[in-house]
Amino acid sequence: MSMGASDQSQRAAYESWVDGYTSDLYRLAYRLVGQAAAAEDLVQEAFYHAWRSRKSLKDQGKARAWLYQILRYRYAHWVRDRTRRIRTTGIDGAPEKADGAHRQPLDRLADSEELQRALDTLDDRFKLPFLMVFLEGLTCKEAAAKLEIPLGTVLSRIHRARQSLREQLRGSVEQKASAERADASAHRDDTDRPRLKLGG
Amino acid sequence: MNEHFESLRCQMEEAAALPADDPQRQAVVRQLLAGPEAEQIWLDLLHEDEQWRLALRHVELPEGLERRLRSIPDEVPATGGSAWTVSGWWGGAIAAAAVLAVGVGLILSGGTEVNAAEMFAASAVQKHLDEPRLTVESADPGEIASSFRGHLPQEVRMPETMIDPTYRLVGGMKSRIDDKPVVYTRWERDGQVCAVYQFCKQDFPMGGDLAAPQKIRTPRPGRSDYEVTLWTEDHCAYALVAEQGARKLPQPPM
Repeated sequence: MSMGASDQSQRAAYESWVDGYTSDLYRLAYRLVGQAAAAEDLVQEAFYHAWRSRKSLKDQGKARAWLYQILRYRYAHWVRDRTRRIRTTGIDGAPEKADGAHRQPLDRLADSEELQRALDTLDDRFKLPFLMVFLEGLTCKEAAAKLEIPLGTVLSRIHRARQSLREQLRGSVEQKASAERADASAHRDDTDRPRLKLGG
Repeated sequence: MNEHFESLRCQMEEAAALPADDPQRQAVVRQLLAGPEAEQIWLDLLHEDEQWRLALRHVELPEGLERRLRSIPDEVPATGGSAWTVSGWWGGAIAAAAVLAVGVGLILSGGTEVNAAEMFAASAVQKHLDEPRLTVESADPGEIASSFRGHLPQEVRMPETMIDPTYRLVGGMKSRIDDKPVVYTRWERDGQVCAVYQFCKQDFPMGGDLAAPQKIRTPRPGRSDYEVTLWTEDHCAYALVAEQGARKLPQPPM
């Protein structure tokens, strides 16, 4: 059976979404769920639903925003369906540091695993606006409109997300540094130890 | 770092996330003329923001994902195109679902169909959790009703089934859910906070008289669930939003 012209153009539009937005959507999915397999499922579900509801997208110029919206919607499903609830310990669990020390910009953000571990501890109320702005590229105003919360709330949630991520990443850097120091010290102890002369 | 700088830094963080031409951001930048220390904090922040943006993008795409996505249209039944839409009410509903990802969780019916009542309930919970600012603070239902007269096509009135006198009316505000007018009232007892929304029956897809109150549970990861009870009285429809396990505010006729 041959495809009609309308089917063909819909198929072409769909393929242009795959070409244009797969990486962006996968990145967001991964940052939200923190697991490659779950992120992939989420993206596949999003595209599946996008294809099924393709006729509702009247303006192809809005495809990116529309796909992101579907992905966030699928993520909400994922949160609901998850049988194992991972208790978050980040912002709501960890006491906030009272001092304002160590304010230098973080230099270890590129360590994707550490960043992801820190993101995983964030409550969705803070993680979602943070990712919408810093990964999806929305303005805070746009994120506020999509989340239906006031702009001030988005700004303060992003502020708290940043604060928590910073503290977590700093903690992880300090932990590593201390492990390295311990290693170096052990190594020095080895080299400083008087060597036994064999023979003679 | 003193309190002044701490507060300035907080303002800067918020401003740094805004577009360059945003007045709030420009106001903060003007303050930077105060001194080099403030300027350095600002530059560090901008640098850090770029680091977040770049670092968040470091995600490796799984091999073959695009190929698998391309094959989806071949696997979807031909009837697929109109399963659900994102226009009108549903568009708002989907936005509401995104809101739920911010820690509220949500209940939707299974599969791909979206249950309108559940989506409404989800929006109602989210609005309540955002602790909206009350425009009228009063324990007098009459004062609330007169303050919001005209906001709804019908008279604003507390539900008749409000039978638990231990809850205290805190106040109310005009609000909207998916661009439809609602009146939000907040109630409190021993630190437990509930909300009651009044809206027009015909405004929502579950419009019409509900034969019996409908209870909808909205789970929240890592937190206690919320329960929304929807019921109708005359021309009004109501939604009670309460944390599950909390003593319920009204007891609609079951």
